[in-house]
Amino acid sequence: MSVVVKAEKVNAGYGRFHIIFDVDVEARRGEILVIVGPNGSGKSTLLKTIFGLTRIYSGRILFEERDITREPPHVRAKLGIAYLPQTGNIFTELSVKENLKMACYGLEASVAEERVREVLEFFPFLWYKLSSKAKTLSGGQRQLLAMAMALIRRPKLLMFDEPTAGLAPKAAKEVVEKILWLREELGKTIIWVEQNARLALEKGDNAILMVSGRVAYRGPARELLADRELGRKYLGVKG
Amino acid sequence: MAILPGITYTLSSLAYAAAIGLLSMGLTLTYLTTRIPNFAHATIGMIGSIVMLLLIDRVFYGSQSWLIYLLGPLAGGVAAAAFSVLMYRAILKPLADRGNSIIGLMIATLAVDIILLNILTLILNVVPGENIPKLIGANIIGFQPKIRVAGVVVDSYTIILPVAALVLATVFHLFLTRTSFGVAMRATIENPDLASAMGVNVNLVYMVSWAFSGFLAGAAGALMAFAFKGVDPAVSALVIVTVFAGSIVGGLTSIYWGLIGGVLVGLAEKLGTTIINNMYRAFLVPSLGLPNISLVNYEKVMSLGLVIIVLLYAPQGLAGVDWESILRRIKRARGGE
Repeated sequence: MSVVVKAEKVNAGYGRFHIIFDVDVEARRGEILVIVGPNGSGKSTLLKTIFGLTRIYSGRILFEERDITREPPHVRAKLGIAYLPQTGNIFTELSVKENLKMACYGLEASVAEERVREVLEFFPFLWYKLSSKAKTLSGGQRQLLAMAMALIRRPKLLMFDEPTAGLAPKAAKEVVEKILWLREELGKTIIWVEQNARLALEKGDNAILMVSGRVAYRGPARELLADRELGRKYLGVKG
Repeated sequence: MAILPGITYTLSSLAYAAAIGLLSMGLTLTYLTTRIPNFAHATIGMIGSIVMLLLIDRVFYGSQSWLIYLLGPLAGGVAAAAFSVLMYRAILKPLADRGNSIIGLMIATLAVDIILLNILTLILNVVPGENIPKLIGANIIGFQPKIRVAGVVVDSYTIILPVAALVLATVFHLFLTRTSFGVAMRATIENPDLASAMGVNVNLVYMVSWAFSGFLAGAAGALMAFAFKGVDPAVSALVIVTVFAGSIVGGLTSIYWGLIGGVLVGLAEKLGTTIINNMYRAFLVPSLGLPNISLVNYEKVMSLGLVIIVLLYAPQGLAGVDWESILRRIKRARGGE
């Protein structure tokens, strides 16, 4: 499998606050790469760095072998990277229809129309919510709308930052099923940051464990899940 | 003594309020997009006034054509928009990129305000000597066509300014809701990172917001030249207080409420002060023996007083008030009757 995205010896942070140190990460085509770690370990910062929302002090980011280290986020989005933050992943003050319109930003009108119709088939509940303000949707529905918006752009790589945080179990299950479906049915590459380590490691192919801004483990997700010491020490996973 | 002012004064107050509404709308827009309180906003509007005067003096004076009401605001708006974008790109953005705080950026706009004020004064002074009085006053008084409203002859700008404000606000609303770039602007205001993720060039959105803001200020300034019977750049120091009052009453979270806040504050300053003055002199002076002075010069007390009253009852400004709930309660109360 070819490498879709690769971070090489990346040091990054916000202004003068250095958060991640010498991080090497790569995600291969069609895989689910899970990133786990304790609070404040730099998981979300790593996603933001890949998407260009932090300051990179050194190292480089490659997307399909192209160096995107200095590219702004909107260029990375156009290249095929979708970033779905934990919160604020939809425009709550816009209607669902306007959110989908935003996702089509820059696409030709005929292409946009076709893509919207396509995602409405994937997420049929949106048909009935088109004119509602997005802030009236439930937490799970918001995550699904965020996914629909990302899919409109036909990204090659989708990066989820704690997509199940704060959701009821049923809604969380639905969101996880959709993430798996993205990989199985559409062949997307997924990077999934998750606080619920057991849930993500059971579903993922490979995993990264981040501790204090550094990579403490890199390898198959199930092996990390089976590592009692790392699991107990950093992830609160017992047995 | 009549308490309510006459139709001429009421219409000129409405025109003033409409101009303040447009200025407050623009100020709110750039605050929403880039979080910069622009203290140079009213002086940028003065660019529009000067363009209007130059157009009258050099092009329109002989013709007395109504076309000035279209070309003046357009040309004034474009000139002010160009300056606004230049100010953002050349000064404010580089300062923001270097990590300056909002306070630092705010002080930078104050500095630009003073520099611009001096430049505009200089421009007025370098115009050939014999033109100065014409440019500052005589031209505009002699130029303005009159309109008859309800049997009273009034200055035409008093009708044109509110209409222009309505048209500009409607066009801007259509832009924000019907065009991709307009929706992108609303999206960027709410969440710039996510808008970026959707492929929106947020820096372009910021720049366009400064252009729009400058255009609204310039267009309002061009028509305000008729209200002030000329141009005195120093007037902007007084106007900016009212514009900020309007934006704060609106809540600084919605451009529409910025417009409404500006109109309300403008009306309070002109109509409110006059009505209170008339009441004072009609009732309080004779009955309580209070000094027979005019209160109309204390109009800023009205606008700033309104800010305090609104913020006491609605700390988020008028935009933060749950109007739906209030309307429901009113309906319920009426139903109960």
